[in-house]
Amino acid sequence: MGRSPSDLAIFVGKRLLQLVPVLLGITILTFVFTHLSVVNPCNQWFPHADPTTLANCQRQFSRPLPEQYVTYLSNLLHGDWGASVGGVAVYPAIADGLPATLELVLASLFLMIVIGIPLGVIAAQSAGRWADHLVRVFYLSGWATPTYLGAVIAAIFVAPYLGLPSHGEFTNNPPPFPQYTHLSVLDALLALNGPYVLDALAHLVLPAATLAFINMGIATRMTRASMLEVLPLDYVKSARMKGLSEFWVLYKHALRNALITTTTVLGVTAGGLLAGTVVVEEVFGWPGIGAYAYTAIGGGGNAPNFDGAVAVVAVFAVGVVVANLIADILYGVLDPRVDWR
Amino acid sequence: MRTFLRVLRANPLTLAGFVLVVLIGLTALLITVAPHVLTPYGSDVPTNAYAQPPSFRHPFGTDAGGLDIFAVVLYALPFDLAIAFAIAGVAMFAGGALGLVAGFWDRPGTVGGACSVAILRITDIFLSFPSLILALAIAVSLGRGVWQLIVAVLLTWWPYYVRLVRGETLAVKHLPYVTAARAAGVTEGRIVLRHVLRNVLEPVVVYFTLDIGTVLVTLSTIGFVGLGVNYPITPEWGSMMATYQQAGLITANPWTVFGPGVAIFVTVLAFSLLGDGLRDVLDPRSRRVLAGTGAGATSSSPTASAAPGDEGSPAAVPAPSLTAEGGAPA
Repeated sequence: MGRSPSDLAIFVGKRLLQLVPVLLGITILTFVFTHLSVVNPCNQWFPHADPTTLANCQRQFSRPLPEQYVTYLSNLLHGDWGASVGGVAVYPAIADGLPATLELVLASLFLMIVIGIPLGVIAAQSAGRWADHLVRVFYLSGWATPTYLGAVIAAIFVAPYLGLPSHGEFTNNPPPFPQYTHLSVLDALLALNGPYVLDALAHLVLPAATLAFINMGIATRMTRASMLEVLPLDYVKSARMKGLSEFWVLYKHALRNALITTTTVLGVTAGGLLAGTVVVEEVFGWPGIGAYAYTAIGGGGNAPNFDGAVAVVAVFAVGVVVANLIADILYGVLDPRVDWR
Repeated sequence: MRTFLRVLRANPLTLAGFVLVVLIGLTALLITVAPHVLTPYGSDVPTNAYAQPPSFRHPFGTDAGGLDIFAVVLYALPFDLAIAFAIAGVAMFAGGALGLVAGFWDRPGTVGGACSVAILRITDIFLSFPSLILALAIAVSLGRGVWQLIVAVLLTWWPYYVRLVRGETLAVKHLPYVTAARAAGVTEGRIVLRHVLRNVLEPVVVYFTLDIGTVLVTLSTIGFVGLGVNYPITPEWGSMMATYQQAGLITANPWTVFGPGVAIFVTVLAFSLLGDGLRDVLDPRSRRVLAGTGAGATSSSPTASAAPGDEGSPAAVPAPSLTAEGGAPA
């Protein structure tokens, strides 16, 4: 079996190569949406433009489709992602928002892991009994809560009750230190500014908890299922017979193997978490690409920003693909049965 | 049927979900046939009580325009349910058919193999978009309206069924009874329809049950963003929430979001409890536990450990159960 470090490079390289057709497919799909599905794209994109701009646009659209696609792709690679009707360029806006969304998604992923996985262990340990039922009701409640409902309840009812802020990244924005990473907590940490670290954390906790609660089910369910698979195995029995405490048996010996399957959760939840940011960021005034997507799509009665909407959807798709890639590689590294060659 | 009853008896939550689903179905039926049995108010006729908090007369209160929220929520039920069933149903048939083709005729170098590869690649591309976000983007290009809403969600919904049905077909088609049928001279088409399809059906129906909830959540989220149907012309839960949660309104009349919120939550929870419980029975890993408690006693020994490391493609490892979870809540 090929599992030497040099084989790992082949394994990762193969996965990266497989990414190419999917990424091309994503651009084709977004190209179809921008160039074909709209009846009169020029009027849609430049509703109040002068005749020259309109004529330019129409000339562009009368060219053969493959040629249009190549132009679209080269613009995409050059960072020219179009602009909103008001003339605000799309690429810088999305690039600005990306770190904030990343921070939010990572924070909720962290909460999902810290809370969701132990819940799965508890459910598996007491499968068929009341603790199992309780855990199931909990994660299905998250599942059944539409994101906006959870976000609105958290922002309007829970936040004042707990005394937590429910808008933006900092109370005083912009903060008095340079934002190198645009990850609010990390920036405050880098500036060694204690009060601002706490402030940033307080702002992060509710939106992240909302997202985590809604997507928790997948992590809990998969942990439960893979724990059920592992618990009857001989090595768990022998760990018990050695006289190890139940906690040690469950969390060190059993969970370690069960978690290998659970890494795939990362890929599966990426879509849910990213989709959730659209509403959560809007409700909590979080300055990420989710809120940008909400506005671009025309949410809340805004004028739709077509270029922006298409670009942000593609960025989300790339995010899902990358998350799956990471999960895939992680799985390959963790599970010794996977051949790297 | 007997298995179904045994499943319901084994897990009180599955039973609760089933009872709730039946109650919700009956309510939807009643509100379509004889609405006045359930509420004296209409969905578009204002009462003379404006912005009243919940009371005995108005269980969910009334909005600033005098509409009884309880009545509107009830009137929206058949509409929301019908759309959810339509979307999940069409997605199941279309995606399922593609998955069956891609799973059964997948030998490389044949026409079927080429079709199979094409179907799977296109499915993969669609699957890389979070379905809610793709649906929102399509809804923008199509404009507002009921049909536009259905088309937008449908376009993003079918790929999950392709993956599920293909995985199940791959597992079934090498079983001895299929080989036996082929040896007996049964035609390919007949094998697919009579032998493979019948054994693929069970997990698909279970996933469909769970999917109804996910579609409902997605629909209402699109409504919430403001791209769904036009409330109050057409009562729909997500659009109701969008209207009532606007700044000022929600702090003045917080109960207005309570009604539609509870309605969505309870409906989705009912379908999820039922679907999640049923799925447990199909999952060999949980089946073992259920067998211990009396249910599914007839089930054979689990075959779960066959999955990992399969074809050296870890992403596809727990194929059926993983894709079943792919329909992440919105």
